Amino acid sequence: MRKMKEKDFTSKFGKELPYYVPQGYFDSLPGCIQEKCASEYPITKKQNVTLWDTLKAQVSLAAGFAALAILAFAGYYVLQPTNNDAVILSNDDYIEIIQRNIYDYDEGSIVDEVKPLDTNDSLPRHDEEMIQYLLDENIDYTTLIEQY
Amino acid sequence: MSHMDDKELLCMFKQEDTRSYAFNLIVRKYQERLYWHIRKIVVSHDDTDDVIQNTFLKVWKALDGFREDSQLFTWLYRIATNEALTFLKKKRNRLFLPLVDVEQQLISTLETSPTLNGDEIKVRLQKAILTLPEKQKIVFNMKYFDELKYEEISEILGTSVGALKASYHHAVKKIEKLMEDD
Repeated sequence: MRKMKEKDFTSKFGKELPYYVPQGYFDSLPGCIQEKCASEYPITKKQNVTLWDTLKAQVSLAAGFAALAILAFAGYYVLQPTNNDAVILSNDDYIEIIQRNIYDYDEGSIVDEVKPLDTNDSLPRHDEEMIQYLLDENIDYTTLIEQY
Repeated sequence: MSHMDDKELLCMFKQEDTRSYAFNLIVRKYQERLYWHIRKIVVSHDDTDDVIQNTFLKVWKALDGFREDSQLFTWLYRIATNEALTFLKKKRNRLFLPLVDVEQQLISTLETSPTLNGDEIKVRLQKAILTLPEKQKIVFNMKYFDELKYEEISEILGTSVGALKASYHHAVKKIEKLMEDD
């Protein structure tokens, strides 16, 4: 019964489609698709990947850093001036330098530089003797102040 | 050559040297069936051309992962159906159109298509099919025009055979009614 109905339906309307396709479309379509696939997803050949292949990038990076470190080390120690290169001056050189520059100073300022500083924090010699005397005689300092 | 067994084609595709050649054979073998399947959904030739190219592009990308749990052609049909429906969805979103207007647009494309070739009753049938809900339309096309078995359609759409039979039945009834009213 159902098959009869289906047959009726098919005979009434048919199974052909009312569309048509541009001529040669199906001949050119595989080429177009192949081209599109190749450009968007190119085939990458699988190769036997060795341990070296996987580590190559990391090793290169490490080697680069090591080379940089060596260069920096060498630059720091080779280019830095050492004591060996310093000019050693003799006594005669110092005298000559002083003689050349001595006229830059006036006499007063030289004396000021040479004169020893006043020792304000130390007592004069006679004051120390007096204190010793008072201690020896067991004289009270306030009594002394009162008498004078 | 294009009548090679699917298993042989898949075997060839898995080998790097014959990969492109096998893919070319797969395209040649299934292009027409997929073209007409898509064309019935999107109507215009240019849109069908875009969709079929995208379909095969996806196939090229995913064929390596095809597990052969299903038949190759049902897998291809599934991709083509999804691509065609996605295309219509994008069109609808792009033009901010409701579903009914998209159907109306497809019908007007059908009427004005320069690549239309057939008598009036065939065009009327296509118009009637285009008014069906999406699922019924696809089920009807696969069953009536492509003569696929319900089991195969079930594999493609992931719907039970019982539900497919009901969909087809409803579709036929609606089409008959529309054709009588027209």
